[in-house]
Amino acid sequence: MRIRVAISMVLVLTLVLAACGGGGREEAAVESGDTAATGAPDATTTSDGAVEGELSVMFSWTGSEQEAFEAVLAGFEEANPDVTLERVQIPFGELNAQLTQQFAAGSGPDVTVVLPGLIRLFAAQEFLMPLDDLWAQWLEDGAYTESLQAIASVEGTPYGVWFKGNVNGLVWYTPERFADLGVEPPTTWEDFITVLDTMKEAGEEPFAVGGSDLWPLTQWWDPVLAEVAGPDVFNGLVDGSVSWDDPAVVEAFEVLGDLIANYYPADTLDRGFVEATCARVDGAAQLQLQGAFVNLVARGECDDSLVPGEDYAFFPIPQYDDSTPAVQTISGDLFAVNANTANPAAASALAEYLGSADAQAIWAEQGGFVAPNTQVPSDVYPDVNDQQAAELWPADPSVAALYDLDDFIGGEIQTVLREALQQFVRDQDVDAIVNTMVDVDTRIRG
Amino acid sequence: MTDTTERSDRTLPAEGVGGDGDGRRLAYLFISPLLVAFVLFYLWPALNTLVGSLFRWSLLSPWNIARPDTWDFVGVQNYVDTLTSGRFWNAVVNTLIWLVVFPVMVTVMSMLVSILIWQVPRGGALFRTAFILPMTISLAAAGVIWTFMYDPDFGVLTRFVEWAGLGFAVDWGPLTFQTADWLSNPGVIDLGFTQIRFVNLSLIVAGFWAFTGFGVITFTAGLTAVPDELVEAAKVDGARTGQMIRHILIPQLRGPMTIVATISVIFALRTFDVVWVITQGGPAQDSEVLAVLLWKQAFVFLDSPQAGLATAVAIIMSVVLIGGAWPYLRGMTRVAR
Amino acid sequence: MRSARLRMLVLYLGLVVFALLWLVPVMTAFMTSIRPLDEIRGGWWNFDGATFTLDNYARAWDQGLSSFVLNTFVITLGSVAVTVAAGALATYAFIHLTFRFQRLWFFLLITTMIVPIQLILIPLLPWFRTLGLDQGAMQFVGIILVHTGFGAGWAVFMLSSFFREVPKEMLEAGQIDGAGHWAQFRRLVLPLAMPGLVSFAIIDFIFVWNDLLLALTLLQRDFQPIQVGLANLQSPHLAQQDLVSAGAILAILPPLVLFAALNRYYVRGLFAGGTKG
Repeated sequence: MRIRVAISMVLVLTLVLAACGGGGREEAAVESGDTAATGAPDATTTSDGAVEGELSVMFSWTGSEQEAFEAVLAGFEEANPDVTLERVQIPFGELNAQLTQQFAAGSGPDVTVVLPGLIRLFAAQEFLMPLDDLWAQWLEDGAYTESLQAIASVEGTPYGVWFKGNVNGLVWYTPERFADLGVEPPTTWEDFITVLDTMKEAGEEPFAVGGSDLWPLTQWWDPVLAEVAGPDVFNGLVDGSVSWDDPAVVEAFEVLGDLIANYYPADTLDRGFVEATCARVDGAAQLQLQGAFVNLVARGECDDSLVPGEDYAFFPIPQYDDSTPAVQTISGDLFAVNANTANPAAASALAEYLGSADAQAIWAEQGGFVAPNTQVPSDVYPDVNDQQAAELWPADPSVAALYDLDDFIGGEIQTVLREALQQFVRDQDVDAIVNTMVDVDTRIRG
Repeated sequence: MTDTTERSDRTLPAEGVGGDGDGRRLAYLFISPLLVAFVLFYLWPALNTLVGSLFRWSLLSPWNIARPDTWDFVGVQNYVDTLTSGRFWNAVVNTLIWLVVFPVMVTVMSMLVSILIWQVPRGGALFRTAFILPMTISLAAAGVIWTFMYDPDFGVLTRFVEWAGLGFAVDWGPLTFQTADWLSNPGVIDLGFTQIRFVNLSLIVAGFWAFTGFGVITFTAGLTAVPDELVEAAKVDGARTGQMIRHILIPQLRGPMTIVATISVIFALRTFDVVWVITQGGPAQDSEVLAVLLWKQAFVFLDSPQAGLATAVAIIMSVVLIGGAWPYLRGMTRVAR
Repeated sequence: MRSARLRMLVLYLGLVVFALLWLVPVMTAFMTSIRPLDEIRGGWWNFDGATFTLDNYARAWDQGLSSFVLNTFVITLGSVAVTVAAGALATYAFIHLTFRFQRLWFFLLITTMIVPIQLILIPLLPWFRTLGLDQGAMQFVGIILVHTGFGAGWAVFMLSSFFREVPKEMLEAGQIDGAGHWAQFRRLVLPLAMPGLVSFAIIDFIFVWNDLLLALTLLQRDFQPIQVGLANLQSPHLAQQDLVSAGAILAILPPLVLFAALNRYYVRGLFAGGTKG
């Protein structure tokens, strides 16, 4: 008896679903008909310059960052009440694969968050809308520098819009413990090494690294490479014009190898980024070489009573050699516009908004954010750590802005570099890592 | 074919006499709902994958049967490249560790637990729930939870080893082992030509924890089919527990055992989420299994067109497993008249 | 008598130890979800000055989990219902009927279980669009059929071993009574294979419930299930262990309720044995 009931339920459910599905299809057809009919007019701006219509925007922030981004989007909706924004949140780990599949299938979002490596790949497939006018205006206004434009561009054409910036190569420390050890934040490489040796002599662990998450190791490689080999070699590795066995690159690996051999904790590969951050906060290690976002993470994940600037602060990694030009390693999130968007006017309006000082100031106020737009005033930042990080942002054209190397290259080379750095932590074998990278980077051989 | 027809004629006289045509039509009515979904959404994409392994392509410009401009035919080059790559063989070794260890652990443990629960008069449902609970957690979340477990600072395992004073490290030439660094370097057996790295075992434990509930459910369902008379008879005969299990339960549980063993072998071969979430195949490539390798080739190495290589890896995996399971599969298809 | 009692004691002791071992990771997630993060870092088993809060659940729920619930139920229940129904019908035909290419179909169903699903996804997305399943509520029908296709091999594989155990004599007796195959399927085979059906339904439920990749790849935001929401809680530089744990615990509840509800089906025989013994 019970069985019969169960079966009939299954059948009924199937029928209901089929019926719903049938109805849904018609509805969908009507809906898509609507968009097709009204889609084209949407694409033009109305007489007063406002935009309207539907617009999808994809991002992968979560938690407090998601809340901050929602506040930014709310600002756009307020200014453009006729635009219906569809928010598409995607898990960070799936972002690249999902974006690629959707764009390849022709169903990508109108506006999406994206890293420069993917911009390069997508631009080559003509998936993205060129943003020349926008950038011409920004450069004229002095909102961005040319080296920032270059990062958002492929072969001279800008496709990306800077939104969320970050400064790398920061050494985080606890001022009180520095006082106990009798050391000062170093300004030269020699002083830096002296400080590290002082810590070791005092029986302290100098660094927390977080090598089990792969990317923290690249946070080391980038500034070391930039300082030791200089900006030209750095950018040469990005675009494939410099080989990984270039003497300057080899020297950078040797410098990193010495740092690892002398100052890395023995269980570097057993801890991830958050554990490393908390280990430094707790005093298990003295220093952490990381990006500006540690300011947010240290409070959010380890101890919410920390006072920025007092309980934790940073100094920029010192210049390796006085003769090398000033460099600043950075990273951050850009946005790009789908070349096949049904609503190009609203999409470029959103892109322009996200790159504007107004939009970026909204998140900057919430903290854990460095505004890439140089016109965002420094008094919007909520604490001294964010403020000092923002001052390091390469707003001055004389400072070369070097974008996160592996994120910029992307793909197989990125993955292999990260894995090779883990191996390098174990054996510090310069020849091996150079060979691995030469093998995988086939661009220079053509 | 003739053989099977004869047998069915014998077992099902009513249909056999009435007309084979009707019986066939009826059979298709029975199977068509499943086959339509299967062919449309599994077989057809799978065939695409099979053919795609003969082409060079990437996720950016996927090989598409309807678009000849995407056909960059390379023949068996993807297979040659795969079989000559050190990275592939490293993944094979790690997958083999899974294939040997995981099914044995799952089958033995879930059978043991099911029989224990079957023997207790009450509380069975409660105990079963303890084992089924992990199954309800997605494998990705299970991966995150096990990352907490192995955490070097506040992980349960680390702290327990500390508290109980169980920490030790051994270094016997080719074998090293330590009760620390579970996810980076717990130890290794160096065989000269290859290395068996224990970090894989750390991951297998996480999968084992998540998967045992499946075995418990299957064995429990199988145990319900054990006729009470058999058990009663054994008790009257004064059979001891051990003998009863060996001579009555185990033969009765052959069906569920096959299911659990087969599905855990397939799970081990395709294992992905746990590894991807916990180590991403690292450190370096210490725990990279085949499914992780092909995921990276198809979905991460976007700049180099390696999706064809990934499909070749998938085909090689499938062929080897089907080949290994061939005698058993033949048996199954024969029984399914 | 004494030895029987001792035996019970050993049995229970063994079970308790195993069950506790299995519960430790669940406890870890549970405690992480109800305690502030900085307390957890001192070890969740450390209860000195412990505080408990449901705050993490509220946050996880507010950050979008709530909007996935209805989709999850439609997709999961629909997929399991269709897969079990279609699977049971097909398995009956495989075991008790003959038809052309029977062995070939069976072979294909079984062997394709082995192909890694990640690769099937790549051709599936454009195919899904070609079939017009990527718009509106059709997405539900589409994903349910995809789950049916993905579960087809498992269904036939698992169910056939249960269907085969229906004694031939009973079927033959039914044939002589003049009952057709449909009647036999309903009256004889289904009731006898019920534990198998239920255990397969549970397995299939778990597959569908846990699926992230299919949902993420094939469905638009308004039609996605909860696993996408859970994955969205993770971030590269925020561990958010508290939120992730709360989400994972929340997502345990529906399957748990289902297991509890279906428990008596697949252990029915067991209970009968227990009362007799």
